[in-house]
Amino acid sequence: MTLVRIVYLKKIWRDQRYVLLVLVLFAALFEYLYTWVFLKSPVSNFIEAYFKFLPSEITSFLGVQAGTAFYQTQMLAFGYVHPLILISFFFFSISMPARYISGEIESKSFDILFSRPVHRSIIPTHLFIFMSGATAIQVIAVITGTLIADLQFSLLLRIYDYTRVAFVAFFFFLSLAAISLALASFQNDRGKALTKIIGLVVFLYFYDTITRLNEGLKNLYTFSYFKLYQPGEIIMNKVSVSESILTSLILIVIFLTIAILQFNRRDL
Amino acid sequence: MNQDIIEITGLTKYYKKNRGIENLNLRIMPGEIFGFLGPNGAGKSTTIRLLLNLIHPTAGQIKIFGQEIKTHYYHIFHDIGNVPGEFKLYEELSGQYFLDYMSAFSTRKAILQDELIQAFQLSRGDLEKKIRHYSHGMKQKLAIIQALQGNPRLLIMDEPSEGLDPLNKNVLYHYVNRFKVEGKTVFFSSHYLAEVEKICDRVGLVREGNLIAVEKISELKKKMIRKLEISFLENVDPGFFQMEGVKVGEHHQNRFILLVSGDLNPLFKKISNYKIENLIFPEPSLEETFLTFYH
Repeated sequence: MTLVRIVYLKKIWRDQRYVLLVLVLFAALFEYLYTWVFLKSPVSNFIEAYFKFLPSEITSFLGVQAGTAFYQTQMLAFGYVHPLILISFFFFSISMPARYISGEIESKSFDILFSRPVHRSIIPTHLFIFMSGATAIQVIAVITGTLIADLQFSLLLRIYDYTRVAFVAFFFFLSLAAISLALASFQNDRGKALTKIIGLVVFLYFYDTITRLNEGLKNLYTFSYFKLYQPGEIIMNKVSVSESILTSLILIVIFLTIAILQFNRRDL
Repeated sequence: MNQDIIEITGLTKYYKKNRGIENLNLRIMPGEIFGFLGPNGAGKSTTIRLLLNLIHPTAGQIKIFGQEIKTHYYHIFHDIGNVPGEFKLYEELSGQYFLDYMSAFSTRKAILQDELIQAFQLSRGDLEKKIRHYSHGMKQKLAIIQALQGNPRLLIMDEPSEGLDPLNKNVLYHYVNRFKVEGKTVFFSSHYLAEVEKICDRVGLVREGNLIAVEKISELKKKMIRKLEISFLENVDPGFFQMEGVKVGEHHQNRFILLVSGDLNPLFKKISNYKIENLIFPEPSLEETFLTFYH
């Protein structure tokens, strides 16, 4: 039984290559410009001054304390969780399972494919393989954007810190990909799958925001999914990188297994 | 003794509380073109999707080439070609890429691809275009070619002539017959009686999820009630048609609609004594055909 189908990966690559290229260029360019604007441009001093006036709850939430020795590092770390960067990383994790699982069930494209000798687990596993590759390239692009800025503006950053952030980001975004695959494998409709996956991400993001901002809910922050990816705290050595990666890996194994089992047993 | 190509036992499928198919028992032999005839919503597509392991039965068992589909589908599907009834092709691919893509999932080489492309009159230019620019008929041709190109042992086709013009329908029938001559088996679902009569050896009639009859086409023709519309140039009394197997449906002056079952020859002998103005065999509806089997 053939469990690797290069032909399927090639088709996904063919479908997604331009989107990936755009996202990779965006990520690299964003980090480069972000570094320049917030740390070296003529307005960077105004931005730092503005941050000094923000309420402590907000600066604590953003993980940026202006006027301290850590400002530069914290500001760069915030660039890795900037909503635009998060959206670009979530793009494949959210859209691909909905399109290639629920969407193809809805359109009955699988009726032709699965009348060939094709094991059903090919679909979730190969989507995961593609998303792993795409996420790795995106993570490298983000770090590359920072490194180019580092070289150009002599920021003297510690590459090691950013490599650790890259590893955590890679496994964190893949865990979301696995969760999306599991959700999509229960849906017959692309629109519904997309709504549920986006709904989940928005819920998890707001859960994280509220539990961090609200003193009374601080205890619930322990269960925040986004706690697994906090670049500022990783760079400041406030969290265990191995713990974050291990938790993400456990989530990947659990949800990828659910996706494969459900997709194998369900009616298409 | 030849082993059955398809063996279905007690097959039942419910979608939650909705009936798909109930207690279906069927055996299809090698080298046979088996017609699966029924109106829309009768359970034809459900049966085919069960045969292809796309959906799982509520009860019952399916064996293809003597092996149970549930556990051996991977080996069985090396030898199957399938034209689904309702499908969406990958619109962003070109026709040629799609054919090669589908072929790449099979161990059978696409030995008939070029021949089929020519027979269905698809040009190189057509095949280079993206599928999103194809008409419904062209998409149907592509679905047929991908199913036949590997020269499979068993063809499963769900209303494959939908969207084809008469010329291409004949190409399809030609290949279906050729497969039969080569000893292969075809499971051909349709809601056109004339089509099934034309190409199939046996037919299964399915209605409201139940297989109500399985007949040889020759037997079906004998049992079937046929409609005959006849106009005479002279006065004919309705009592003239009182004979076995003939019933007057309606009449107006010298125009009669007759419902005839069994042998047509005695009737033709009798009416040949009169001058006939016109004689038509209107296509009976599926419901009219099915009524034969309820009586």
